[in-house]
Amino acid sequence: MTNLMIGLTITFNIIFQITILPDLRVFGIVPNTSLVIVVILALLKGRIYGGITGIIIGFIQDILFSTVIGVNAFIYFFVGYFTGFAKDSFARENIVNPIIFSVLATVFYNLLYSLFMFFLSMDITIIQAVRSIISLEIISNAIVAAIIYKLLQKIFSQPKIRFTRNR
Amino acid sequence: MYFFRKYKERMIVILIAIILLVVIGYTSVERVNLTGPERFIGNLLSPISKVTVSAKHKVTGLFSYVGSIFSAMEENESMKDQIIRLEIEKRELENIIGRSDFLRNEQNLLDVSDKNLLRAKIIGKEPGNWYDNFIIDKGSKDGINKGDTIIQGIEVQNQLYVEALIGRVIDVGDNWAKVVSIIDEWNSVSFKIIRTQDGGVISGSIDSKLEGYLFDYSADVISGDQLYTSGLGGVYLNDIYIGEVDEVITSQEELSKSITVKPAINFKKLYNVFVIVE
Repeated sequence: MTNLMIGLTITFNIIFQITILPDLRVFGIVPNTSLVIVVILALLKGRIYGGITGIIIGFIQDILFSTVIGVNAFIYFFVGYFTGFAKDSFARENIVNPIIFSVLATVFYNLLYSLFMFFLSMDITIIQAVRSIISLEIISNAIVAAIIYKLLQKIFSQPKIRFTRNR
Repeated sequence: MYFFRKYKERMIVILIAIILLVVIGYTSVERVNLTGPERFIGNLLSPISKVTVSAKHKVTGLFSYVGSIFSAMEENESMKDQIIRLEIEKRELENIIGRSDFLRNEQNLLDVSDKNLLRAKIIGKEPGNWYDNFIIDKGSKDGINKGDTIIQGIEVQNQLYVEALIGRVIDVGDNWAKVVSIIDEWNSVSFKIIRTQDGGVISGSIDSKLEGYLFDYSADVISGDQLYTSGLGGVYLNDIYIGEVDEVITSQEELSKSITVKPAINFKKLYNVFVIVE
């Protein structure tokens, strides 16, 4: 059941992100919903689920759009895996958590991406790299994280104590 | 064996990281064809994406309709007055509309061009903020090959229609193709200035501008000059319109003359394109 829901989330996200989202730019910035979903799934389901979701979303995004395969998969995998360590450390109901982690993940993503671009011999200056790391994307991702967390929390979090038979 | 059991998870993580790095290294050099899994995922996703794009246009229309209901009441009164006035104007305008077509630009391009053009629709744009790639709904089944040029017809002056450059195909699936646009970092275009036949190279940048330099330092170039592709290098066909020179920057120290270019195409509002099939 969980796997099915994760699959549906990924599929819906990809379709939403490549068709509708690019037209909803605010100040020319698109929130990276893939990254946010990886972070939230990792927070809700732990590091293994986070890592695997990251790899799948990253590969789909790379195959569809990027010339180089694997950059997004690599970054999303580590974002999911490391965020997953924080699974049981915080209260589930606290909405500040996913916001903080998605802000950190956004900085991490852009930092690693500019590093990859540098090593793939793209023409990128240090100013452009810094500008992309500290950008409005952080804010837009934080807002999207709050919304998506509210949506996904109900689907993926199971109560720790059950009063009925385990399904 | 104890060592392996203790560090099992860490080893798996490192193994995955190494595999991904190898994939990145392998794919960063120019490849010939799409691999099997890539082709499969692309084939699976592109029809869904196609449906969603057309659904999106309907949904956007619905939202703007709902939003307008609130202001509709007051508008109603003034509208009635306007209707009478517009009725008269309509008669005059119908005369003009009859002559001009909705798809005039495209049709004129088809008339003017002697190349083999294939109409294609954009069905997805890259989600991130780094690049400006998109996918179209035609693929190898429709005769598209890797490296084909993507254009659109635009009107440069009165009644003068030209082919304007958008980008080129970098990967082809069965019913979809990945297009990299000229404002993208990955892409460099060799151009010539139509007035003086001076040549140079422009490329996109991370902030979606076209920048480039001229081969000849003493070349005579002014803002407003029109650029066409020169066909050098064989990546793009020759004599396709790129845009106008926006700004000329002369640098004494580096002995170079660089330019910024205003592309003829508005890349934010692309929906239909043409592929030149050879």
